[in-house]
Amino acid sequence: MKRKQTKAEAGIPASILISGTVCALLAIAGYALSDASGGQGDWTEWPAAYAAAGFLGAFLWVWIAQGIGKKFLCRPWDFDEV
Amino acid sequence: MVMHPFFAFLFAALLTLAKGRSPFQRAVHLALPVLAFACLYPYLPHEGIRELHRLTLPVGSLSLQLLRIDTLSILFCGVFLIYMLLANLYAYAVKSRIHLIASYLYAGSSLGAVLAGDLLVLFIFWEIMALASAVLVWNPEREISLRAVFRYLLIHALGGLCFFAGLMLRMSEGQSLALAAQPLDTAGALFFAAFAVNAALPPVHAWLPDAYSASTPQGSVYLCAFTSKVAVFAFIRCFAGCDWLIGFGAAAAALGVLFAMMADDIRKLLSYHLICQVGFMLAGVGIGTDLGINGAAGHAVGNILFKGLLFMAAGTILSETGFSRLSELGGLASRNRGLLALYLVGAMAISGFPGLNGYVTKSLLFASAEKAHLQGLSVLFTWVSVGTFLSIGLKLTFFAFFAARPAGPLPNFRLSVPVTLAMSGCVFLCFLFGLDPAAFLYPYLPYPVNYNVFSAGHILGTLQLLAGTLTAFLFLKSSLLPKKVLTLDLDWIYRKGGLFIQRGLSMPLDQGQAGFQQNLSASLKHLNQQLQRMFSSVTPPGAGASLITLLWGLLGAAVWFFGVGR
Repeated sequence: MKRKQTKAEAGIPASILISGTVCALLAIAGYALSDASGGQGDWTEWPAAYAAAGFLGAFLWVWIAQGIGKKFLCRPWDFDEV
Repeated sequence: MVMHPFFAFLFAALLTLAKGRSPFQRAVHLALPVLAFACLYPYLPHEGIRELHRLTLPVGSLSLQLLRIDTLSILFCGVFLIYMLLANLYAYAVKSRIHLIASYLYAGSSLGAVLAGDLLVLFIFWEIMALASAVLVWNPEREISLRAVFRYLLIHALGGLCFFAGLMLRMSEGQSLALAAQPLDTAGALFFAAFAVNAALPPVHAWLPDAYSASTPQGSVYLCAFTSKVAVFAFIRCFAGCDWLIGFGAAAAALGVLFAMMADDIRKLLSYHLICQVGFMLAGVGIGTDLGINGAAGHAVGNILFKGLLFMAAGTILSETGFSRLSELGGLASRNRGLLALYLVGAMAISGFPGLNGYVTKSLLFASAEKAHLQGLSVLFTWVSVGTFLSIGLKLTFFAFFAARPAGPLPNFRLSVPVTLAMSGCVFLCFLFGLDPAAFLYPYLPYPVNYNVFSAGHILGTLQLLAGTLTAFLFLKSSLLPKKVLTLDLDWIYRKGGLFIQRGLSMPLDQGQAGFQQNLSASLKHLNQQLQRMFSSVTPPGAGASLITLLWGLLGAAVWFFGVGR
């Protein structure tokens, strides 16, 4: 059965734009913080390091769950139903 | 006279057994944590909580340390009592006597375990906990839960046996039974294995999602708080600084998130995250520094609150809609906005949003890994945090609350007052510990905390991590679409493997029995002919036939008794 889209789902392209902008702003803040601390503070030398880690980490999780997990570990039945 | 807090729970259990859900019982149900605290109060130190108090009870040649009160036990005891108050509120409408009795004994024995001063007392409460929690796994409305109960008992019997064997070894060698740092000799390894079973460390983790997803909505709210946290407590007491725990903890954290990513059932998803969060805690215990132990103990406290809140939300969804699979849910945001708001706090807390308790305690754990120069563990923690936000904060939230339900919208529902109060209590505490940990959390941790979790760099890094994950989720949403599938875990070994072994063993027995019966039948036929020939020549025809019938009857009864009736 094809899932109908809700308003929340239909608004996803706009959400991508917004969250991407938030990431960019946070990266600028990271740059400012790095600059202010002279690279010596508790901030990494890459201003957008954590945003990139979050973005790539999420892709990696989905790739593992889809590629390895669903291929080898998921079955279309239930122990208690067979 | 010794007034152990367990007696308060025992009293409530006996009262429920005798009176059922009377008004007095309902009052005791709500006031139970206060009664337990009143029992504990005379033994609490009054000159500073870092002081150590003990209560020893001589029993024969043994000296049982019923109470050992220090910062660690006060911390666990305090959060257990507070959570018990909220869980009892959540379970206010429960009518089943057996479930109420089990929940009292379970919570009381958990309290007894974290107050235990020696291994023998810990073992006694450990076993009461296992039996009482098995009753909570049983859901009379779901036939399959009975099988989950047996699997739960099987695994916990294994853990209990390891614990008992370790105890016997220690006693036979005349060594101390004090609940203190244990060497990793044979007995120590057995204790480690027993604690690992309750902590659901891989490879003995599969019982947790199996049991917690099968229990009643209220049962899972109790279950998620105590068993694994008592195990974390036991690990802190006995194996702080043990390197094995870093490896096992890291494996549990990664494996928990991986299975949560694939899970369809909400309570299974939350259970896998429980394994993941316990992995965080145990890695902190393995690091063994003051910051690591503080992080582990603090995260145990935080986890009880936000995980309890999430299980309360999941239980409410199940009891109000009858569904617990993401593939069967959707659009709950428009059905009950109050539930959404309360649930979101739990989801944000576990994801580590600044201002909530998960952020504070995770930060302590991450800092402990960095300060111990364990860069690999620090990176793994960060990656697992991404997976946590992705699976609970985004996947579960989106598909349960915002996406369209494939089978049409669900009806509206209302939250009862006790459920709303219980969930609101968890929300309040998540904010309290998250906004001002220096006042409400740090003074109760085992060691003084000298780390600022609210530095600008740390807050910014966390926000970046969350924003990056959210952006990725919006791209990946279709890949995470829930499907009604079973995720094979290590419980496959004893579910299918056990069945295979049973069939393998019973087949030769069945064949042997059939062959034996065939041979016996042929021998009896031959004997029958011989007897007929013999008796027909010396006695009247009727006598022989009667005797043969009698012999046949006796032999038949013997065959039935030893063969078919086996």
